[in-house]
Amino acid sequence: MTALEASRHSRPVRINALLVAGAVILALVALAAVFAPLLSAWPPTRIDHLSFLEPPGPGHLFGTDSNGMDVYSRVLHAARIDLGVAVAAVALAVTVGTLVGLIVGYIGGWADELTMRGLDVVQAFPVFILALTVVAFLGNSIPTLVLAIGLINAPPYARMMRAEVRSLREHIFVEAAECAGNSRTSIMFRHLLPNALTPILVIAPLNCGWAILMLAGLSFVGLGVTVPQAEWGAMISAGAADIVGGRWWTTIFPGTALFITVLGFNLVGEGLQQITGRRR
Amino acid sequence: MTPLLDIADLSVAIDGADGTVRALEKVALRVDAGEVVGLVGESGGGKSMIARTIVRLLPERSRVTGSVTLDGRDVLGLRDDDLRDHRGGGAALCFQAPRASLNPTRTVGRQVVDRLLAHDQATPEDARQRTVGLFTEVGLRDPDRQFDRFPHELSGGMCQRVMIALALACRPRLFIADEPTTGLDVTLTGEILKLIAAQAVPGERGVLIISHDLAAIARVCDRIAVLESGRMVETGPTVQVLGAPSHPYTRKLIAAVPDIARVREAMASPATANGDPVLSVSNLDVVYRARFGRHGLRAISDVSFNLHAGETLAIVGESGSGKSTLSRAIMGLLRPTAGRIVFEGTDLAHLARRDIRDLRKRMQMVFQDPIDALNPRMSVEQIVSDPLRLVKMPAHERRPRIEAALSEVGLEPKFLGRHRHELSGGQAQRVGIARALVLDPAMVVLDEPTSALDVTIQAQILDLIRQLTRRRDRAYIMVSHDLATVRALCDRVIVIADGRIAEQGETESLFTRPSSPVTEALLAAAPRLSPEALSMKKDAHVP
Repeated sequence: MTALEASRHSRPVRINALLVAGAVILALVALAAVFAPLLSAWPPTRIDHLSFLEPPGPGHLFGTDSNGMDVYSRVLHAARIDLGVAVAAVALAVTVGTLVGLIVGYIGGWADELTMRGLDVVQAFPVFILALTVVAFLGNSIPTLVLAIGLINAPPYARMMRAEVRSLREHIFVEAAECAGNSRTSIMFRHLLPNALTPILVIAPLNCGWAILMLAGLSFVGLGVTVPQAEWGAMISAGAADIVGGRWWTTIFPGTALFITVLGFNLVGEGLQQITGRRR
Repeated sequence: MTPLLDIADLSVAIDGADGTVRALEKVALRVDAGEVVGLVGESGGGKSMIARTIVRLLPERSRVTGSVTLDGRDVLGLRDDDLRDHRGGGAALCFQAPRASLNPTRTVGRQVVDRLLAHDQATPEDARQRTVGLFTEVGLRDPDRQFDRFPHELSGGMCQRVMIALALACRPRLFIADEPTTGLDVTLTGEILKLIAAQAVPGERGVLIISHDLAAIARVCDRIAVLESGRMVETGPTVQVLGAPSHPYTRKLIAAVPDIARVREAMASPATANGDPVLSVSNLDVVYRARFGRHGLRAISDVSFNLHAGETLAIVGESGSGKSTLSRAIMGLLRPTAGRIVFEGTDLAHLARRDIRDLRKRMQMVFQDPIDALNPRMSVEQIVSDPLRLVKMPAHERRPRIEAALSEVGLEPKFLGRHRHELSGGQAQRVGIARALVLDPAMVVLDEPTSALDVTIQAQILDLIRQLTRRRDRAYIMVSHDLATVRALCDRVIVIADGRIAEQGETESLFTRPSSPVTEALLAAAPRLSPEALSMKKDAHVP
């Protein structure tokens, strides 16, 4: 029995505390991203020539960085890039991975063998090194970052989807669908896909957390988003030198924002897993 | 004489999230040593709950009242070591689904040895020898070789024998077999039941057989107990319960058994018997290719037959005989190695997948597992309308078509929005049949349409099929392992064994004058409840 079917068997959906907590966090971060210009007095890239590395105070809530930019405004605006890139990259990964897994899982044979061995090769490289290489080749614009992070995260989805489809296609309803005159495409998309999607949708939010960390990591080593654009990883990287001088605010605030956002994604993922897992 | 097993006033209530379920209500049951007692009833009636109470394997949150005594010992009060002894040498339960109950990572011999050693029934030195002895006792051929094999290397019948050996390992006083014949075909069912019944030894051991299949176990049981929704509605000697049932539920169970003596009612013979056949299969071979140059498995060899419009044809054989392969080849679900399958003038044996799709407007199939044949994410409406996608049809014409198909199988429109988990097995099979009928095909293949259902539901579905076949405008192929179910339904029968046609002919002449030993064996194995059949019961005790 699939998890989704099991979930329909159960009593009215019990609200999961982790899921709610995660969703609230993510909603707040998303609101902060959308209304960033309204929430901050300073534009994120405007330089305050009177204050460099000023500690948090009434003028600049989170202080200013070594370029004289307002840390509070930058932390809010960075949420736009971080959330946007992460969600877009994971959406890309889910789409590509699901399609590949669905098709090779259903067709099987040498296409399946070949694809799986190809994925083996890709997955043999450490993920971060792979991302570095791709970005180094394609340049570090936002679209290439989405592409790099998305494609690198796709293989696990392809594997998961393939495994689901391979077990699903042994069910009689697939044979029944063929007898009812469905084409291969229609069997894949109308009959197999809806039954195979649950585990993918549970993993996706967790993956968004990893995607943000990867983006921040790339920015930290200078291959992601660069100053003056506001991005948490880049901000931490730029502020790293300030810590030695006791100027903690340039790194702590973006770091905390990063932590809270990843926590939100993880809570949502964990919550979804509990809901579907408990009823399995 | 005090009975071996004495259950009195047993009630079991289980606290679940949805409230308390009263699984058993004031049940009384007695089994003497040397006696074979059959416990029958439909699934969900609480039969397995009784077995689980006797071996104390109830769910955690169950409340038990009443008394269970085995050999003078109060079973419900047993603890720790006493309970362990009870489960080994007291009452041994042989679980249903033998293959799933065996550990797939250990050889079957090791599993019996484990049991022997755990209960100090053998020393490490003689354990293997004892196990081989047990395997011989339960009729496993070549027991020494089976010892080192894994469950997946054995057939269903062999796994069941291993399970029986496991249960017998500690020489229990009471042997309980829970649905021992589910998944076995008719001839094997008879053998296994005889083996189980033979374990009853006067003064030593009693046997309790739990089954939903009254007809199958009646032959080997001394007494029958009938359970309905947790209540014991009737107990008595087999002949009395079957001959003069006192409770309506018992009568319903008996009436549901397909009667092999029931002849097909007189009907106008199919109008077009001399016209062109709807389906013509000639010299069909199906060989499953094996990897790496090993010999392929020849599933079907040299099968030829014709099917005319309005005719109902039965394909009968034991499991593994190739009948499912044959029906799948006819439906174009697998490609034959050689031969022709001509459906309405088109040979689909060599047709591209895309072109076979066109033929599906005219030929449809109903499957053995009614629940699994329905997509869990789709509503009944979506499922039944699935084949309609093959024809161009305006949206407003679909709904009436679907409702008409549902009413043809006896389902009201309120089922349209339901999903498969909201359907019973019988309702699910009706939906499956509706899906096959919605396009009004010329031929429908019914692959064991009732073998996964409870007996009373089986009877209802067979009735439905009988009504459908009475309309003489469509050809049906009914695949079955059970001759009794096809006699009253089919015009002609093909008996298939080892992938070949062993015999084919008009139903009545085949039943009255079988010419092949395969047919004779199938006829002999078919369950029947007539008095003469029951008088055979006594010799069943001889192993």
